Amino acid sequence: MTDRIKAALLALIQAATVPLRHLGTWSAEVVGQGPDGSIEVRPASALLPPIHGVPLFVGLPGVEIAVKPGARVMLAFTAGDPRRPTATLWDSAGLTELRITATTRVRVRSPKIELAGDGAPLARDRDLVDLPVTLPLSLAATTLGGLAIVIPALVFPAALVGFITATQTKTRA
Amino acid sequence: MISDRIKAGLLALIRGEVARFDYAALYEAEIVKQNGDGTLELKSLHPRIPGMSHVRIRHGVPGVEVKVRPGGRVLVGFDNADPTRPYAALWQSATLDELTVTAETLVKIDAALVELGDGDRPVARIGDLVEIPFTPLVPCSGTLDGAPFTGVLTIADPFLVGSITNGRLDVTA
Repeated sequence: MTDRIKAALLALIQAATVPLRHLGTWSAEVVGQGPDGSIEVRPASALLPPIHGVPLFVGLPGVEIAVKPGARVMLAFTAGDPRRPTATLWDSAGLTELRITATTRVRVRSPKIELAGDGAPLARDRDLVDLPVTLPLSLAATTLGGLAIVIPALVFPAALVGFITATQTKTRA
Repeated sequence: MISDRIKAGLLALIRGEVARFDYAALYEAEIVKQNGDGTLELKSLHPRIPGMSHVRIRHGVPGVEVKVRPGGRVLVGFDNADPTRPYAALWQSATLDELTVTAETLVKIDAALVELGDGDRPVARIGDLVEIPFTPLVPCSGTLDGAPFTGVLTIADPFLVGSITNGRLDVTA
C-alpha cells in the first residue's frame, strides 16, 4: 500500500471515528487547584500533555472537594472529546477538604461512627449529667463566736443528676 | 486517489464497525427527575446520545443512597459499551436533597475539623465537664445557740461542676 493510500485511509478513519485514545481513562497527578475548584493535572502517560482547568466530577452528588498537589486522579474525556477533560476517580490520599451539602438530610447508619477526636461517645439533648456536690454546704453543727449553729435544712444530696438542655437541633445522633 | 463512491462506502463501513465505541465514552446529561426506585430520567447534553429513562446510579462509594433534584449534571456511561445499559456515575453540580450512608461496621471521618450542619459550637461527649452556676444566696433557718433564726447564706463559689454520664456510645468524636 502506498503512503498516499495509507494517508487517505487514515484520514478517512479519523473522520469517521472519535479519537479512541480519549475514550479511555488516564492516571494523572494533581499539580494545583484553582479557586473555581477545577484542577491542573500532569498525566502519567507521555501521550497526553499537562492539562489545566479540568472540572471535577465526584462520585457522590452534593459533594465538593479540595485536594493537594500530588493527589492522583483518573482523567476521562466526555464524549471522547480531547477538549473536554474531566477528573473522575481518586486514589485515597490527597484530600484536604470535603464538603457535603444537602437540602434535606444527611444520614449515616452504622454500628459505629467516628468523628475525628479521641473517641469519646457523643452526648445529645436530654443526655444525663452527674454533678457531685463538693461545696461546704453541710453546716449541720458548727459554731460562731462560741455559739452553736444548727441549720438542718442545708444538707445537700451526695450528687445531683441533671440533663443537657441546650443543643443545636440540626445534628442528631 | 480513492473515488468518492469508494470513500463513502469505506466511511459507512468504518462508522458501522466503530459505532459501538461511541458508548465506551462518558457523556454529560442533565437530571430531569428521579423516579421512586431511585433511577433517573436524563436529558442528554450531547447530540450523539439520546435522552434516557430509568437510568440507574452507580456511586463512587458503596453503601450510599441519594435523592437528587432536577437540573443537576451527571456523567453517563454504558455497561460494556451497550447503549441499552446506561448508568449515571459521576456528579458535577447536582443538587443533593438527601444522602444516606450505610455501613456494616464503621464510618469514620478523620480530619482536623469536622463540621456537622452549620453550627459553630463544639459537640459534647461522655466524660466532658459541665458547669452549672446557681444563685449564691441560699435562704436558711435553724437555731443559734438554741434560739431559732432565719437568714441567707452567701456561697463564695456558686458553681456545680460535674460530667456527662451518658450519650450515644456508637457515635464518638
